[in-house]
Amino acid sequence: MIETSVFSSPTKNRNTYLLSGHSYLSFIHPALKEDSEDEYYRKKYQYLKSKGFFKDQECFNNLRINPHFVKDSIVNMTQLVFEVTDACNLKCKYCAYGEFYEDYDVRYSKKLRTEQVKPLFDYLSDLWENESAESYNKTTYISFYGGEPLLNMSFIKDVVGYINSLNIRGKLFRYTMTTNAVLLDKYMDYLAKHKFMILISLDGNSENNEYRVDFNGKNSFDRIIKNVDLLKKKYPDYFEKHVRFNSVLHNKNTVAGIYDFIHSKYSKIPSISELNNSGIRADKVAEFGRLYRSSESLYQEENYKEIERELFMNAYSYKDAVMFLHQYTGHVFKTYNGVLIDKKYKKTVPTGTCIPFSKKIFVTVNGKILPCERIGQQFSLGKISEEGVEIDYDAVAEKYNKYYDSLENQCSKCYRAPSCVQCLFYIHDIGNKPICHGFMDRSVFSKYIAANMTFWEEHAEDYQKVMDEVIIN
Amino acid sequence: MNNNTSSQYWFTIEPYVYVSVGKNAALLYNTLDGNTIPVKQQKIRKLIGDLYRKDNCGVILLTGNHIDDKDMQSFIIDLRNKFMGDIIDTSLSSGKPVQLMPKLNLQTDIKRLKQDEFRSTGEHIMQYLQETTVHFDNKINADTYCKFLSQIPRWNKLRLVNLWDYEQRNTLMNFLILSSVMTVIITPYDKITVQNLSLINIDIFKLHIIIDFPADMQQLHEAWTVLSGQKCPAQFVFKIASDKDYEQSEIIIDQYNIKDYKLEPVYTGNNLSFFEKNIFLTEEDILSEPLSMREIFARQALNTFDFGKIHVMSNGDVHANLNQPVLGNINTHNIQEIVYKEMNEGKSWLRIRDQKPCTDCIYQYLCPSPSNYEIAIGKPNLCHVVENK
Ligand code: SF4
Ligand code: SF4
Ligand code: SF4
Repeated sequence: MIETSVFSSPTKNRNTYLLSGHSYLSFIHPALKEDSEDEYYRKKYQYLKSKGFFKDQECFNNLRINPHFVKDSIVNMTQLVFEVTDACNLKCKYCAYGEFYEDYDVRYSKKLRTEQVKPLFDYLSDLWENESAESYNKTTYISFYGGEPLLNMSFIKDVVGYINSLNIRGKLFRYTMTTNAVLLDKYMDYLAKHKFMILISLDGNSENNEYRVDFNGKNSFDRIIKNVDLLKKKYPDYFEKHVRFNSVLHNKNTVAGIYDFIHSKYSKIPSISELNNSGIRADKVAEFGRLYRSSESLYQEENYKEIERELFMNAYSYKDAVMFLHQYTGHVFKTYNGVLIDKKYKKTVPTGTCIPFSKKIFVTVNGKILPCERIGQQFSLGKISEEGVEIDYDAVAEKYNKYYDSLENQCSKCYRAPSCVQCLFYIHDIGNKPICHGFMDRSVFSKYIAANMTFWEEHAEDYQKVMDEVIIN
Repeated sequence: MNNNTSSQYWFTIEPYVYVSVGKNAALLYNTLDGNTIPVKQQKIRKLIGDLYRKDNCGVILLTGNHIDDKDMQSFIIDLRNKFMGDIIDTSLSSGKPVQLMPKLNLQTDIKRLKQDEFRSTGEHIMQYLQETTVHFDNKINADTYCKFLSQIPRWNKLRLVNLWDYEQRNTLMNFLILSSVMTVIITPYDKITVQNLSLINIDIFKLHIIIDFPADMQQLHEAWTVLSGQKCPAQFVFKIASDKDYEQSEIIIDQYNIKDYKLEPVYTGNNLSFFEKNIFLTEEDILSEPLSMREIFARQALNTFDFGKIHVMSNGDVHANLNQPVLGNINTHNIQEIVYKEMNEGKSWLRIRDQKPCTDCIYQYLCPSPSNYEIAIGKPNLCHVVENK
């Protein structure tokens, strides 16, 4: 059993907050306690208690999924991602398919073939035409991922041709791609014509980019910049609206360096990601540790406040603090139903994992089907074969429920549960005896509230902006 | 911090307090117990207004000037006594706190989605459909109805009006039974017959029995006798247009010891005084039941009477509210298109109190959503708080 109301530890400014029942978060007098020496605060405590504060909370995150969840997620899918090829024209030191990692299929420079994915399109269009979707005119993103997707352009063109020929009421499509931009000069006309949203991987200036090398070990920087500059010159509008940058943080760059370079050169705010630190080979742990730099490193930089503010929702700190207020203030609702219907007792599944396929469907170059590209391929949930698409809704639901079961004991006692963002696929030994390192008991959670409220004390003037402008759901 | 801080305080109000700002006054409303503090004085209204300033973020430093002011003192005492806010000695902290003041943030608000080119105003809309009312005569065949109804979400409540006169009702009923849709049959009391009720002798059905006035007591008695021999759950809906109707409904309720019933006022076009006397809201009515913050937000975002409801007319036309234009027709549009149209262009689901005089009134979102009576009577506010001509 956990309690609904938790007092924060003191923030940096030594203020105290009370968080209660996922929907009340208030600055309070530290004397507000049941046995307070101050009579007024004793009374106030009793008043709040009579209104439902300071109670034990029913476990709410013990929901299990059924096969309908799986099917509905596919019908209402947001993004279909193809691993277009596992080949690449660069050999980045930290590549997810490179020397540090152990949890992907052996790579043979394969390419996805159009015939290979044909059954998936038949399967999806059948569902899209015959099942009632939850949304209308919502965009479904068709995404190309690699390896380097531009190495398999014929597949991409086939898919775009096929999707454009579909005419399903209420379905819109957009194309997205993550690319290293090495072949951008060759294909930019096509990409601009079809309004691909592209995410270019670039780690900052030439020195920052030193891990992004070709097969001869040569930095790809000059080539990328030449291509990106050309794209900007040739298609300025397209460049402005549809092109974004992502940089990986490591020991050869810094958040400030990345931001300065990309912002001054292209007037864009890059997204910055940390290296994935799960699935590291045992013999590489030490080397990986030297390379790895956490986004927290921003705070060691001199002018971190300005940079953080510029990065805004591209900074982890903002993202986390905004998630916090979305979850705990009680002022943020995802849908109209959320505000219309009292959902105090709404059940959820344990962990912060997405319901299978509700975020993405990821198809590997070998035809495996996964819930996203960021998890180990051993977690595949189905496959495309010559016989067609094999996704067994019952089996998928059963598999997830088994994962949930294995965490039930921890999640049901975890104070972080309402705002948990932990993906179960990142927890070692999931399904057997997993241990979640994100688990929070009451005292850790008190500190977590304090950390978030410290952020808001330091960024007080952004509260309105975040409430008015940010959509994350 | 300097040594002076013992005479300085952080002033804040509790985030469970809803602050409503009208033209000439403000109202603080405690959503935990419905307690209120009206604020008329300019200086206190300013203090409250300042809480909402971006740089203050819900907390204001109170210094000597403020604290010595008598009006300010009595306001703060009242606020603290009602547990609606506090002043906290700044010496307890080493820097400014924040109070994340309540402000509705609806992520998929239609206006927000419209501004974002990567989002669609059709997101999640089918979740919103909660209730479908179908009005029958014999213009549409049962297959069309079944096809249409098979698109509605499984949680949707179905209401059928004038079913007994629909010739293909057996086909339709079989479909409903097979798909176990929770269904309410709306029927006048004089259509309660053994034969009709035999059709709905299954637990997915419930009856809403309409009683108009003057009621035919003989018929009513016959209906009651038929009902008593059946298991089908029934609610009685009395359509009240006058005090006399009200009295008669009370007699009927007493006589038959009716437990499940609803009184529904009817505007006839010439019973305004009945409405003024019984339906128009007073301040007391508005404040009679405490509203949660979520309920207040709901009234800011949508119409709590109409949201999620559609009516299918006998020719297949669909309305969200019978007083508003047609959204589509079940012969030509699918259900998503109809719901999409209402969310984007409709006038019913998102109709809120955004008209004068309500926009100037401190009860703006404490008042219920505007109902059909406002439309029928042709006034934006049915209240005694602001009498507009
Ligand atoms: S990382 Fe986990 S939670 Fe996130 S999309 Fe992938 S499977 Fe879902
Ligand atoms: S942080 Fe870990 S233990 Fe806590 S709810 Fe999330 S997955 Fe469960
Ligand atoms: S109906 Fe309008 S004017 Fe009347 S009390 Fe309500 S909000 Fe105020």
